[in-house]
Amino acid sequence: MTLLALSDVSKSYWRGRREVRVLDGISLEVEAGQCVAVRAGKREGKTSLLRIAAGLESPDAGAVFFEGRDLAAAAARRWWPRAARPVRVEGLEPGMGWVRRAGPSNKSTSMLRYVAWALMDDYNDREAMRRASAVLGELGVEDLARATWRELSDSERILMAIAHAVARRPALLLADDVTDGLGVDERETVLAVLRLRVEQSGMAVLMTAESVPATLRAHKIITLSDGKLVKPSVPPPAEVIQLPRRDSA
Amino acid sequence: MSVKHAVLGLLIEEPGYPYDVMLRMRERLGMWQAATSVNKAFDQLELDGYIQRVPDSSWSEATPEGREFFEGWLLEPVGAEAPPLRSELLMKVGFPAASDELLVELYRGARRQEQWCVDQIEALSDRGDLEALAERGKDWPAISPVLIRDAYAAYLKATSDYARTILREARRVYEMRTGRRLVVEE
Repeated sequence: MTLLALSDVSKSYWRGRREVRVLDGISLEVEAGQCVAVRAGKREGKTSLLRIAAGLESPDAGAVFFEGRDLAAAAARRWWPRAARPVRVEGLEPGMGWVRRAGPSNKSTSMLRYVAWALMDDYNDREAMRRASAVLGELGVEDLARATWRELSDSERILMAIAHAVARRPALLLADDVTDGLGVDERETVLAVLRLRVEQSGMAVLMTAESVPATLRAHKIITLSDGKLVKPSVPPPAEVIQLPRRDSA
Repeated sequence: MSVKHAVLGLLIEEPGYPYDVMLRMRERLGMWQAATSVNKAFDQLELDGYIQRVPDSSWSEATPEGREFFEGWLLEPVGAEAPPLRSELLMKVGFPAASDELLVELYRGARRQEQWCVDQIEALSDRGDLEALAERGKDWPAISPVLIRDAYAAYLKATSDYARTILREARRVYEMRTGRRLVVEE
């Protein structure tokens, strides 16, 4: 089932007097239970693409559909009377989650409470805490439940941000270069947590990355180059460089 | 890159005489060549018909044949693996010296190079082995293949960044010069 579909999306920005087209006719689809990674360099439209996919920003041209709903129309609905508006958390469509690396605004709150905050609109305190602790358990970070943001390492903070984003059980998780600045082992751990989550819960992930290794665990790797998508050629090239694997040693 | 190519590239950019070209080589390319080898390159290029004397002066300028030879050389792939374009000289001399057609050709070449990187990255991607993945980072045998893979991935990233720089720069120079959007059909 196609969860998110972007068709012919374009976006330009003005840098001084020069117009820079960061996205030029981008079409992509994210299926349920799929992890899609978008790779691009700095200032090449990664975050723009993600924000457009989330409906936080509207494209200059093209359409974005999430679960069959047109997000351009949803963005227009922001001006509707409050009662008629769909409920949006942190500006996002229901069914979407965004990994916020900034963490809780109150940095001395416990991580359990931070994750539970995401659920407090829908449940009472006790139930929210119970569910938050279940989410921490699923991600394998239950031992950090009582820690505060300041006490965590970079990779633990990212895991907590992921826990906060997946607490509402979104159908699609958006992650903007979350592995940036991590060491090799930490990066692999974060990617493993994301991938296991995708396998276990059927959630889809749309992530961006600047470095190549951060994309290699995704089901689909998409490269943005000069505003356009570059897809791997089909069939794949004959000469593939063989790397030593663990089992061959 | 030889002295001959550097001299020819600089003369396409702007006509000059040997000493002036020698200084420009130091400044632009970091090539500290002796005056004799620059003089020799001038003689050789003139014999080949790639440059000619400007009448009544000691200045030389590139001929159309020289321009053609240089552009052909810029597009020639280097190395067996990736189809990269001539790197250093292209960056320093190639863009201002390139004709509009060459810019489009460079753009196409860079696109091919990016495609090659994307294909290699696709071949590198690892989608199975989740249990091992979860255990990664715990011990050396688990992390070492990742480190080896990362080294190749870094090479691919550098190659692809290079292609993107060409894409961006070719587009910028083309649009500045012609005032038109660079549209290259795939």
